[in-house]
Amino acid sequence: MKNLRLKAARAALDLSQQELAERVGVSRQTINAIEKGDYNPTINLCLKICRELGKTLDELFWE
Amino acid sequence: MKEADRFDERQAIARAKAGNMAFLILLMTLFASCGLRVRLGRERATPGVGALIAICPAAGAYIARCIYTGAFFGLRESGRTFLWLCVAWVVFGAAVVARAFSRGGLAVDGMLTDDCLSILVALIYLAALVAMALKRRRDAREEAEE
Amino acid sequence: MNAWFAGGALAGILAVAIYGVLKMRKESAPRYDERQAQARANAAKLALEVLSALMLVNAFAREVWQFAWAGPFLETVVLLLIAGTVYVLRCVWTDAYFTLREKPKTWARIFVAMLIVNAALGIMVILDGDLVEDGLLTFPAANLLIAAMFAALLITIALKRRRDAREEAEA
Repeated sequence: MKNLRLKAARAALDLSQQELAERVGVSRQTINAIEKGDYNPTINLCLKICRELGKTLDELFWE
Repeated sequence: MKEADRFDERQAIARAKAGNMAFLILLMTLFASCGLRVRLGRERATPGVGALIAICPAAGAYIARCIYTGAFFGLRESGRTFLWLCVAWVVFGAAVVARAFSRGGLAVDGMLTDDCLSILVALIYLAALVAMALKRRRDAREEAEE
Repeated sequence: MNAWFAGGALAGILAVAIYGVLKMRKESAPRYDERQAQARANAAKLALEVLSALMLVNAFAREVWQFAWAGPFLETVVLLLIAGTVYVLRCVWTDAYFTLREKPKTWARIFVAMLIVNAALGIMVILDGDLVEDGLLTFPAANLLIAAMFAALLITIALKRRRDAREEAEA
């Protein structure tokens, strides 16, 4: 399932996928795959993304 | 049933990692068998037997690693049937070893026989049995620690 | 081709492989992210299946059809090249070939150079009429296969770049 909340949170901070990927330490395609719902990140990666975007796990990843 | 339905995410990743390890082992056995053919200047077994002998170590390593990481049996499989299959093959393998050595070895006219392949397959099942036993012990330890 | 040459070539390939593994272990920072590591493992699993199938098909052809197409060393090299190509192409397509720090453009230039060199060597072998000897492919035929491998790699990289550009535009 697509993660539109992640995409929206990233866009709200005016970050490109590449920029977010560099901050989190993954490739741009990984961020793309997470947003498209093609990849389920580990909890560690979820936490890193939340920290960078200033959001909680509930806000970005939980239904 | 598709693999995605039989195994959960963690199991799928573990199976992929086991495949990675098995691929490296297959590369090494392929190199070794080629080196042997070039060094000896002739075949040591018929092509079919030779190819299967080269594949056996990788297959055994893959199966043993999957079993040890709990990624061999699907979510709805118990593994009992496989356990009995392993025991049967190990017993069969032991019988083949005894027969082969009573006949004078595993090679005839310098060529490895099919018995060699049967023994290798039995060794794969033995490795699977050992992996299952080690996994049971680890599971029991983890359950006791909970 | 004598045993010493083959042995030396095998030793050289093994030495490069061991050096590569040791170099990878020395680097402390992670080279691939978690998704890439998984994708690489899946690619290796696919390559394992392909290599096993190729070995069995080759054995069947040699034993049942009595069809020998190359000496033992070239046979092994060809099987490895095909399986290696499957692995590399799958890694490239799932963006798991280049590490986070590597620049694909630099590597693409190196691949183009390798393609040109091997294609040139292969063409020279064909023009000299040394491709086949006593009905078997000679070892220089591997150059043509290596050139084909790099061509497939470059095409995949180009297709992937096009897909990435489309994804970035949609992001």
